[in-house]
Amino acid sequence: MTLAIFFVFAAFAVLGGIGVLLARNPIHSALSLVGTMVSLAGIYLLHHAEFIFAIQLMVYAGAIMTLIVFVIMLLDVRHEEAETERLGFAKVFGMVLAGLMVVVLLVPLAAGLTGKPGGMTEEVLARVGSVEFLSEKLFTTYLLPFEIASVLLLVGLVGAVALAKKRL
Amino acid sequence: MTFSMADMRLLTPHLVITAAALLVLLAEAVSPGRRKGYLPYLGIAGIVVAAFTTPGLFGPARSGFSGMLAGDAFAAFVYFILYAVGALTLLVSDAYLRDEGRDHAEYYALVLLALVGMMLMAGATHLMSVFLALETMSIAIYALAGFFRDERSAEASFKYFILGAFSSGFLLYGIALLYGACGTTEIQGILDAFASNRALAGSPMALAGVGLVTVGFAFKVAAVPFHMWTPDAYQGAPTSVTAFMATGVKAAAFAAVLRVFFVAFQTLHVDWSGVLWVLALLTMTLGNLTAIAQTDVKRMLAYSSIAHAGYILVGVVAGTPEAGAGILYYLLAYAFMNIGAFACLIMVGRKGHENTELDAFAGLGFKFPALGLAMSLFMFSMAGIPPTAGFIGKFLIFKAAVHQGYYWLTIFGVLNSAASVYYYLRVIVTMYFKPEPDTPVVEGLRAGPSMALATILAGLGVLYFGIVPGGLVDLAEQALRYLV
Repeated sequence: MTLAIFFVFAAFAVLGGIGVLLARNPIHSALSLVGTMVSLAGIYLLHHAEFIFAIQLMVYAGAIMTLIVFVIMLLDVRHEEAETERLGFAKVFGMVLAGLMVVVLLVPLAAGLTGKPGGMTEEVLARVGSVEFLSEKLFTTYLLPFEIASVLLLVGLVGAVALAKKRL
Repeated sequence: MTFSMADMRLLTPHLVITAAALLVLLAEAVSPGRRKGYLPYLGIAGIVVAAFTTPGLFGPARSGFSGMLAGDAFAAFVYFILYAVGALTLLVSDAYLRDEGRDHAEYYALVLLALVGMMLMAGATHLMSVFLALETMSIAIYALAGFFRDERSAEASFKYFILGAFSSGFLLYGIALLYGACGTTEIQGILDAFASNRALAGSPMALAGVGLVTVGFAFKVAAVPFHMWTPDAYQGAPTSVTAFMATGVKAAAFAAVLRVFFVAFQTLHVDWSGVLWVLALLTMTLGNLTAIAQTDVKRMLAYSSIAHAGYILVGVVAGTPEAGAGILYYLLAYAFMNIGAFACLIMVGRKGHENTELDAFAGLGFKFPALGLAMSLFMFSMAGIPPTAGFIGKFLIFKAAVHQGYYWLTIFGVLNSAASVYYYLRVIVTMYFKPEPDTPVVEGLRAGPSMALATILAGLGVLYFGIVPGGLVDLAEQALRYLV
């Protein structure tokens, strides 16, 4: 049952990804991306990562997608130019790289290569719940990286103002 | 476990400088009118206070924040290099930015916040903190590179941003694969995982992780073939930022490289030393050969900075504490000579005209004797001619490489160093032996007291550590003793 649901979400995620690439209208691309994001959120839920699921929906499918759509509308790009039809060097190179990526992803699957399991096993999650687990880690073990991230955001903010504001 | 006062003690220098950055931002907001010339000195005061809180970190290795941050002599040594870089950059920037009409608090705050990122990179003992610190530093530098907002400054910023983001992807993917292979991203934990499980060293996942992490760092230190962004980014950025990028980013990135490769990947030396051997050779050779062909001094210094990364990589290849101490010494020496040289470049420019073509230097040696003397000193040091710090730095690194039996790499390094003398001396020859053109390019120097002070301090550093390097080398060796 879980596996069937996984495949449904996975199929939608892949279809969304293909849609992003093939859509002529940038807005359609953006909407396909929403599909991919929501499907990924579903997969997170299947893995008992309720918190990541909620964040994925709110931040990626919600906030970031809104921003992307805003930018598309502000820039007023309607349709791609026709010249992308040509099979240029960049396209061939991209295809070769994409093919290599598929190989890199399939080889470990075929060879049964797996990494070490982390601390968030299903039993642990079932016992403490994913929000508790995450928040405890975030505010104890990972407190310093958490604080560095806040400085990082400040740097981004100051940097954006310094680069974009007309009169400082 | 939660954190304690002992943890806060390790973080004090970073907190002080972050506070200074916030203070600079706030101070501008409440400064009446245009009177804000004191802002860079507020930043320098912060760095000095941070420097006073640092010596306590020398001594046995400690670790805080659940193994995220080290408080060891290695981190403290790099912090001092970074204080020198930060303070000199702020001194050099003051008159320069005022002349260009861009003396804003954001600049000084970004320099200080980038400095915090660099310090965290040097102190981080967990790949998660290494990565976040690297991003903090990088994003601040992207903004600084574009701070002048003219066409070339924007190009520099954009190129550095796109390629920097690309390289962060490599680093992050490498870290993820290492986590998969070792079950941890703590540097000591990775070392333990590799040491306790011999088979792990042969696993494709671990090796791919090591490879991708290598690529990520190679981008940041501008090693060939990951150096494509360097010349344009260095040439287009404001000159003070170029000096900061070439010295600070290099010091922080190599500090992280030392911690990751000398500690976490210690048992894999056989695997990575071969790759870095090739990278070091390519970086030295390509950097020097391209520098010879340059007619613009700023661009030449960009290629020379690639070549210097190559010399430092020779030390990384050697992989011993002796080589590590040599690298630490080299990073400090390079900070002094490079910021000094860029300060001289700033002085010959005027608003909107950088005057960095080689021809602009013709006759300047006699017209401005002090500038000629300073520039000559920095060029001699970069070329590695005694009694300057640049000579001792190269000597220490090549000596460590010979002790490990890397004869060929050392021979190539020395040959490269000899070839580089040509283009460094060409600047001196142009200054003293070429007559000034009838319509002088450089009419006056953009020098103020702060610029003069920065140049004198850098010059004294180059000479002092070149003539009596003993104490500094001892400190560097002590720093490495606790690292490895």
